[in-house]
Amino acid sequence: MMKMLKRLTILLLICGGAAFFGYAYHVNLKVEERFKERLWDLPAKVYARPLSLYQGRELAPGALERELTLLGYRKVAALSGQTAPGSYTRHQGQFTLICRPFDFGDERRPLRRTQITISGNRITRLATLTRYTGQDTNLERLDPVLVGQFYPSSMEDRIVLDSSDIPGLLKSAIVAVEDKNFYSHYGIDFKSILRAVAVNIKEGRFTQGASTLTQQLAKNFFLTPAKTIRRKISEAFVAAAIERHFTKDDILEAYINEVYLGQDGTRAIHGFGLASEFYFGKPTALLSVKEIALLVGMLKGPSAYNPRTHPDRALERSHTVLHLMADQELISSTQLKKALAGPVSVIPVPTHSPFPFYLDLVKRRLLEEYREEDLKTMGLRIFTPLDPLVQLAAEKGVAEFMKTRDQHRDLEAAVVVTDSASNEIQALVGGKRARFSGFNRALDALRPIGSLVKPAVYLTALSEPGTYTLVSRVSDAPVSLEAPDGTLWQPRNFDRKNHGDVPLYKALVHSYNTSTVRLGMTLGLDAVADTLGHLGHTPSPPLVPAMLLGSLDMSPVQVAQVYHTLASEGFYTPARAIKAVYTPDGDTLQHYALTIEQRLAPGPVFLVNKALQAVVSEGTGKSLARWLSPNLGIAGKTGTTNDLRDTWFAGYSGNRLAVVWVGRDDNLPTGLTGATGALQVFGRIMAKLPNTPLDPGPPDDIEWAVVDPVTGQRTGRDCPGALAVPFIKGSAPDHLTPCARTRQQTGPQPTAPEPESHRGETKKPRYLIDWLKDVFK
Amino acid sequence: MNPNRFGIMMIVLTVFALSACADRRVVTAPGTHIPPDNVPQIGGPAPADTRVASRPSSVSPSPEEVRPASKKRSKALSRMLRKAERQLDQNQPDAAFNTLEQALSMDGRDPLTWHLMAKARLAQGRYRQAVSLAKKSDSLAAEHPEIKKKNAALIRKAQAGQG
Repeated sequence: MMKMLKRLTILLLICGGAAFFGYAYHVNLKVEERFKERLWDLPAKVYARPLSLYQGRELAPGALERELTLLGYRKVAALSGQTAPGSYTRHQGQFTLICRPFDFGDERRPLRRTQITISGNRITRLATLTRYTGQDTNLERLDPVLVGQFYPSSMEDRIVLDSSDIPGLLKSAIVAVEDKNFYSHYGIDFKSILRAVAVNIKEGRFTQGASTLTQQLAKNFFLTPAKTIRRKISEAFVAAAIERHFTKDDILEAYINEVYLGQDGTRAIHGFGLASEFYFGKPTALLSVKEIALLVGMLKGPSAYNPRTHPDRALERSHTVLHLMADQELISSTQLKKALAGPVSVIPVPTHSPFPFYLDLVKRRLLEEYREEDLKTMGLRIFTPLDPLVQLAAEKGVAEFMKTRDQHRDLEAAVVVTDSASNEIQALVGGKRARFSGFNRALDALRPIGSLVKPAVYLTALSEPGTYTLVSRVSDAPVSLEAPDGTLWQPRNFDRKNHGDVPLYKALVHSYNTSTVRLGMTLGLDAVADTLGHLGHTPSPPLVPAMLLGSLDMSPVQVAQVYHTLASEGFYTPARAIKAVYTPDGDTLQHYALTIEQRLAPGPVFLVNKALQAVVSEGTGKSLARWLSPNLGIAGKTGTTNDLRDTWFAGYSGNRLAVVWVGRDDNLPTGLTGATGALQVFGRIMAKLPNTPLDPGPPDDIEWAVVDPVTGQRTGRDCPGALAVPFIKGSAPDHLTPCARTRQQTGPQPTAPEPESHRGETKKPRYLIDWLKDVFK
Repeated sequence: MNPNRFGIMMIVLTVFALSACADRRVVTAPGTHIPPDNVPQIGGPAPADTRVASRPSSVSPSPEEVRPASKKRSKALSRMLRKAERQLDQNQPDAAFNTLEQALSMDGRDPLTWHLMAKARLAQGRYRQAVSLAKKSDSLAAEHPEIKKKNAALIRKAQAGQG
């Protein structure tokens, strides 16, 4: 019997031993595997454009201050050597900044002190007082506003620190407070366990743990937070395996990056790197003794000792930590005394800059090339051209307009603003409320564009200079077309009038429907659709005559693409919402550089641009003068769709383009036109931003002539109504009509329709034979 | 005189004689490349009349504040362009292009910026882009014949490269 028992015991021991070592082996493998991978899922960070500062730049002091606020820079009365990065002083137009260090991808800028003087809304002086290598003293770039992040499902956020970024005092303080025997144990501290067991037995329940730093790391990496004996045992195995594979320094570094240190809404603050920024607004390397003690104190309970919600408790706990640090001679008694004095200055919770509509655009573009999983875990750094100052102006422009239309509760709006040189999207408003509910009108609202299509019709015409010039006569007489289903389509002008024969540019300037349809039908729907395609949006077939009046669904972003090609002399550049994507190590993953393609001859585009400037100076866009100086020479076009459902305005200055849509989600009439709706948003937005005048230089094939717009013939420059008009070389009228023969009236158009045959009569003969025919006619 | 020749001469003379009697005469004065002064221009601001007076003071910027599109390059932009040229000389077309994109945000209408962009792309063998960028530069270089010349040379080179 005894023998049996003995055998059984041996067997059991063997089995137990096998199980023990088998499990240890398994855990070991698991730990090895886990540490081979990336340790943490890091959210992708999306940045706005960095604000560049240079002498001569147009920048209002208020705009700089808005940018600084968005960046979370704190205004202080005076700057001392101890002032944290991200602080500034302002005395009227004089700013002194302690700029945060930042890796821009193409260069790194260290912590530095910069002085900026602004007078007359321009930077007149710029000086960087901190010298560093590779310094470009003439150009300063502020760190960019963090627009948003794509979080992993755990919602964990962290800034991973390298061992070189971690102050020695932080390491020793953590060891002193959390795990005194860290450097001597093998992952499990049996002495502490025995002590804890004794305490727990005495108290009759689990009150005290004896987790080493390694065990805490093991728990966070592999296990659930439940406090069970079984988990405790696995934890011990994992801890031992970690110790086997890694040095003490590696383990401490991993702990410092892993540990949970607070909550910001749904976002979990992990690691000392992010905690330093979150509570003190500075990198870990710059923490003071007092701040280190406070953060280390929080390890005991991040919410119980949260310095924002429980400042007293947090302060008391930090004092305990400071004393412990002094006891272990980590700090001198003078350091202790200094650190104990006074309160801890915690910064307010950093404000997020929610530009959700823009972030949505960025995400959609990224998902065309990246897996969502990678965006949420790889810690990519994504640089965008979003200009927060333009974005705020756009949001404000919408809000101010909505206030004036109080009775129209259901009105919605969408705005796109781009740089007219690079076609980078500077701002995107997807609705009047900043909160994003999935429907981004700037991208998703596909609406008929109405008269916004007309420049494509006139551009098609002006591309045939042998037949059409800006002052060619076009008929505005009523028109009626038979649709394929046999019904009659009879478009009418907005004012329900027939304007007779009008100069071509006037038909665009006053957005006449009937003359546009007549012109478009003569040119052919295919030709107009081709032009639209060259501009950046090919309409899908079947092509119907109503397309000529904008019965063509497009989103504001698509409209912006088309108008950008006009604004940039006929050169097509795809709109960009991402400049570059970098890995966390600083490698360029992708750089989205500007590309360009000449799609249209510059001459006809120049003519259309002149006509679009006339839309604003004398036509349907005239009321823009309420907000914008006529000297800016803004070119633009209004658009209104059937029953006043959609109102549009697209326009540009010398440096900026904006497209605005105002309408209703349920597509009911708004009671507004392009001019009383979208134009008013456009005006408000552009008036808040620095704009340069639009002054396109004439391409080589342009010549100017002085004509009487009423007759379309050349006239003396002193004649009443004389107007300088550009022509493609060779298409200007040749026949000089003396003043006496011009009509005295200059403004109004003749209302009596003139015979169709008069059209093109004043064309310049192109060949000698034509000229002879003309002479002998 | 050869009767044939005489006939031709008569026809020519008749043509001239008749053309002088024609109702409308062809004006030989050519148009100008730039708009004539002192004549209102299509799409140009209306002469300072009632409209300016009736405009509210909230107009931004005020008409006096609007500077004409500056023909002179700012110092900051000049420095940026010199930097890009240096980078091109050091055979760093990527870095140069990057610098030039920054320059574009300072002034998007400087033909030299676009020309240097074309040069960077040419150095990278991206001939199509080089040609397009040079053409873009051309479209802004009405007052810069020297840049136009450089663009033309660059386009020739790029087209040769394209084969």
